Amino acid sequence: MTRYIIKRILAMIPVLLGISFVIFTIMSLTPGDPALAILGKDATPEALELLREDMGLNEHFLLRYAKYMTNAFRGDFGISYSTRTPVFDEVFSRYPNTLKLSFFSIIFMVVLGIPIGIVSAVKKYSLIDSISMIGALLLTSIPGFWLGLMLILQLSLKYRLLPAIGIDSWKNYIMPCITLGAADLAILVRITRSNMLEIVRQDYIRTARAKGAGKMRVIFKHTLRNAMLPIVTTIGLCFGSLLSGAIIVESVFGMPGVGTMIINAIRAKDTPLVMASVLFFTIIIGLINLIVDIIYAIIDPRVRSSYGG
Amino acid sequence: MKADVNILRKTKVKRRGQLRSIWNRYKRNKLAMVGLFLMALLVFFSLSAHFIVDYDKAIHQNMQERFQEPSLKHIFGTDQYGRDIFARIIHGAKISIFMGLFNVAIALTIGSIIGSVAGYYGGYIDGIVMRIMDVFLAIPQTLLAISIVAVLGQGVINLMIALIISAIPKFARIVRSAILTVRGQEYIEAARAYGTNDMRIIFKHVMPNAIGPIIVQATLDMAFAILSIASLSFLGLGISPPTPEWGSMLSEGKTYMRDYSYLVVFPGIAIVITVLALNLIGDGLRDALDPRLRN
Repeated sequence: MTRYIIKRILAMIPVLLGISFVIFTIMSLTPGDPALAILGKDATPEALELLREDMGLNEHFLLRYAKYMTNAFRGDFGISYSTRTPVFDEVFSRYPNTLKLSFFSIIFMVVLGIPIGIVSAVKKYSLIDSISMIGALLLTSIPGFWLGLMLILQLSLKYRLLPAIGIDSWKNYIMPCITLGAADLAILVRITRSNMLEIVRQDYIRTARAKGAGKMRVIFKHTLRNAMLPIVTTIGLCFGSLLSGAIIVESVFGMPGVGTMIINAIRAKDTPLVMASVLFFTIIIGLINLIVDIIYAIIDPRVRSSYGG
Repeated sequence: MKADVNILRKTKVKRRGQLRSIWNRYKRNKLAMVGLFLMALLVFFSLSAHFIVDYDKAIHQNMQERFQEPSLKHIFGTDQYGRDIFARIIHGAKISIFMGLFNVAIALTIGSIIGSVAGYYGGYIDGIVMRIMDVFLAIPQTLLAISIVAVLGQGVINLMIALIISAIPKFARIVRSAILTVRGQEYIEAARAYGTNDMRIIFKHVMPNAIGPIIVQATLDMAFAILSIASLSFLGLGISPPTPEWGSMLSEGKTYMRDYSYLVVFPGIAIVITVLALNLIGDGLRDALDPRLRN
């Protein structure tokens, strides 16, 4: 198992190198002078040239990339053009907010999604099933940012129940979490339902019933446990889409996370900040995929034995 | 010669029979038919947008008529510049649907070429190409699109490039796996034994037999593209005003939504209907093309 984890972490390195290389290449090829971006239009040509030399912008592209990556591995991601503070500090002061938002959304999604999926599967073709299936269909088609605006319109502006922007209290997280989790909640409901239905058909469920196991025991112990693998995969995959959804949700609700930082960095053409935030997201998503695979091994003995652990 | 014609005729009949049975299965699915109806309506609106309401009304500023609540004259009201929201939504449909379609068409073409080459030849080519695709697939599509816009800069063309690049890996993977499943079939071997060249085998024999999952993915991806265009424009990274795009309408309307909530309601509903229609069609097609998957 340990060997497997190490192997997986090592496998992330080429992915990160690939992504950083692609971003670095495009950013170097697109017009725009970082020195000009830092010093502003009033800078003298001499000052610009000096800064370019200082930043190593006159060196060969591959050399610059190699330098960037070696520094990045040491935790030095350069200086932000717009705030002039180290990029690393900038990203790390904001990432807890983004992770908190994504984490709460996952909880919202799991707490609601799995039970609704189970009820839908158990009461197949009932009214509850139809309502939850149509609800799920609608939720997958509603853009997150619009759902957010509608929630603000109703809950903040009309009934004044929840604050619309900021992150001052736990109340600030309610609407963003609903907004962010909604689409993935719908996916989770559908996956839970269809997998429960798939497992219910298996012979061993019939055997369990024949042996006199109670209804609840059959549902939770025999069916859900076996349907869990694809459900866990879905939750893991959702984390990726949640993180990118966070970019949009954070801007709707004015939350100071990595998402709003990316948008501001794009607008300001702040290359080091964009680069670092995209890498940050990729690392997090890679780690989550790894955690999902480890959870597999915990819940499914068959997977565990294939790792020889 | 005569035998050839007979065989041709037979295959034609068979193909039509297959299409018909797919259509019959699709027709039975009520939700899928609702999706098809909505989509037909949207396509009709976007094609006849210029006849329904003048484009000028959608972009021309008329300060005397700003912030008119929905009424008979302006059924969805007017915005902060006095532009008719109904006109903007109708013309916005044209932009969203055609940009979505264009995006999927290009991404599908490039993805198919990459995926079919990788799947058909296998070996080193497959390994290298698919590892590169994996790098892109490691990032969620929206984030990838935003990152590409980040490096290319804002604007319609850059937005399209970003969406196309971010969709290619998915298509490449689907086409590749579809091709892998048909590659070993005997009729492919027969075609090769007959001396048919590789490109002809890929496009004439392999692709038509692997098309099902690809069409489904294309439909769902068009929904995703339309959603992404709206999302990125909402963030100010895509189509900017005064072009009537739904996402940028929402972004503009957001400022005034405290007093004029209709500004953010109608464009949102337009997006929901379009995306819903495509999702319904996609799901319906999946069930109709492969009845085994249905549960």
